[in-house]
Amino acid sequence: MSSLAVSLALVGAAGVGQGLSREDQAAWSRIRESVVLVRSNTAPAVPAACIDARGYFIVSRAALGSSGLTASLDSGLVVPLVIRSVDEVTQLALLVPSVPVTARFRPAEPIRNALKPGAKLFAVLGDKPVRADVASLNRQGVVPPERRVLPLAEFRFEALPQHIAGALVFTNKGELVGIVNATLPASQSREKSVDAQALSAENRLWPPAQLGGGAIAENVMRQFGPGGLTVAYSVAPSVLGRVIEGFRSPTHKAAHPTLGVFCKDHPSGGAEIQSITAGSPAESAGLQVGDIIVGIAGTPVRNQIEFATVMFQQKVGSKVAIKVVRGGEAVDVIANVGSSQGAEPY
Amino acid sequence: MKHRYEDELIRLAFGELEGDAVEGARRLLASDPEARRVFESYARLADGLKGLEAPAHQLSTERLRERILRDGLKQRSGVPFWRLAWMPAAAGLVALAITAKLHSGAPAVPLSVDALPSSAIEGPQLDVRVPADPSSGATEAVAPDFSGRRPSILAHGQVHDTGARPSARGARSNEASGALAARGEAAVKVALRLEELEERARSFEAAVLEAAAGDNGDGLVIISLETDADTGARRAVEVPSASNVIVGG
Repeated sequence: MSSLAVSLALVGAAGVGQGLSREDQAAWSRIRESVVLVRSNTAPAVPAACIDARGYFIVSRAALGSSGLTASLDSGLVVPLVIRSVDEVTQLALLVPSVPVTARFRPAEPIRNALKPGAKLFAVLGDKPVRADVASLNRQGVVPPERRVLPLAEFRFEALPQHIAGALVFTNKGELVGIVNATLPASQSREKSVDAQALSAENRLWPPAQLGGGAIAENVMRQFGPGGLTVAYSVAPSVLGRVIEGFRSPTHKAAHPTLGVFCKDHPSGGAEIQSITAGSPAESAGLQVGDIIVGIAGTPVRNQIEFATVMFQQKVGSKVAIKVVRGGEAVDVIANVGSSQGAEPY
Repeated sequence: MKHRYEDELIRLAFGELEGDAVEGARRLLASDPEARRVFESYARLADGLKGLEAPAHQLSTERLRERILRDGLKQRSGVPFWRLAWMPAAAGLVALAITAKLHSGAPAVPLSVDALPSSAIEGPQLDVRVPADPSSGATEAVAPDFSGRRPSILAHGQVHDTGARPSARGARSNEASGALAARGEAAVKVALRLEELEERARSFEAAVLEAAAGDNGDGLVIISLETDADTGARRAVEVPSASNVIVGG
């Protein structure tokens, strides 16, 4: 692939400056070939990661504007983009050019191997790269509007707040680790921040002189000096990989397993069904509102979070055994695992 | 006290019980001194939890309470040998008392357990006979009184001098030794029960401390549809408890 055929606007002016280590220079060179800055009429510019050589880009839906989406290439070409698909569960969107583009793109691959907490990463915030840390890859989060319980990755980095939405997080090998969907409020982020003295030089913002045009002004960097960490969340790499795989598919949709129920915890233990979506696998299996799910796929369920967590690990199209308590009596149910967003929606 | 009551008492101490369950627990407390004692122990711990000072997102008393209620008390890892010394020590006392009685004919010194809280005594299944009339040598059964969860044999002053005479000495000595043995057994039970209660209290406190130490702030993250004005990203909030959070699946 002629990956160097296109230099994107984001990194066009960001020449490799002095002072960067050879390793950092190489890492940034790999990352920048997969990133484009998307502008719109309604929201600040947000980075998007190329996931397919045909010009498919994945981006945070929450950070993306709604109209006038364009990506400016360093060749001067402005490429109009459209939202081809939105994954409601993760709030990630697929952007594709709305006109034929001859340029070739270098797709980033989602990280496949395990990433240890504390691993050093690069985050692309708007048009500025910074070092990032991963604090956890196994947080549990409830993501609207589907309110699914997803594994989240928690990242920490120093950055101008207005550049954080939709930030892309890469390894130094150019593997995509996460796309920032949400951030903790500043007050909670401060509580999680570490002592400024404990930060290594690698954790700090790259000096602007080393980045060129896209860098943060030095006075601003001082203003946001060590200690002002932002805590941000992305869906975990495993889920991100699933979404990318779905976006690359002919349907451009990711398949997330679902039964079509909403639950809350039950005081005596278990997940109490609050509502059932019409036509869902849950309805077909005979589940009822008020049923208390106490087991799924052979795993005891103590609350709704455990139910949702296990449910999200099921395979679309498979069957799952569910144990519920209905009117004080145990009832066993076998349900098909459906997909509300996938190629075979129920 | 039976263990099954403890869960209710824990929930009562932490304000978990509702409706009729509260009334039932109150009645239990009114009628059972041991239940009161255990309840007060948990209530103190509950108050201590409420008083813990820590950032809300890192340490939640509610989260601690949930974890404790979820995991329960840790299994006892075994009784240290020095605690088992109660048994031979008490047995030794009993033996000494019996020996003294047999050889001197003097009244046995009653083993007073009044110093021990009566609530700590779980009624042993005693069938002890003592002389009704010291002069006759006849015996009558002393019916254990479990209404107060305290056998009458253990009440101070209820153990009489047998007034042993040489003619009936042997038989009465046997009876007295039986009473003393029973008393000693009860004393041992009381002591072990106290030790057990103390051990359970320590286990509970250890569970609290472990929960606090293991709590690294990794609660559930709720992402809202609101946009953070500073970052432009969705607003995330860490919550210590997932109670009443509706999720899809």
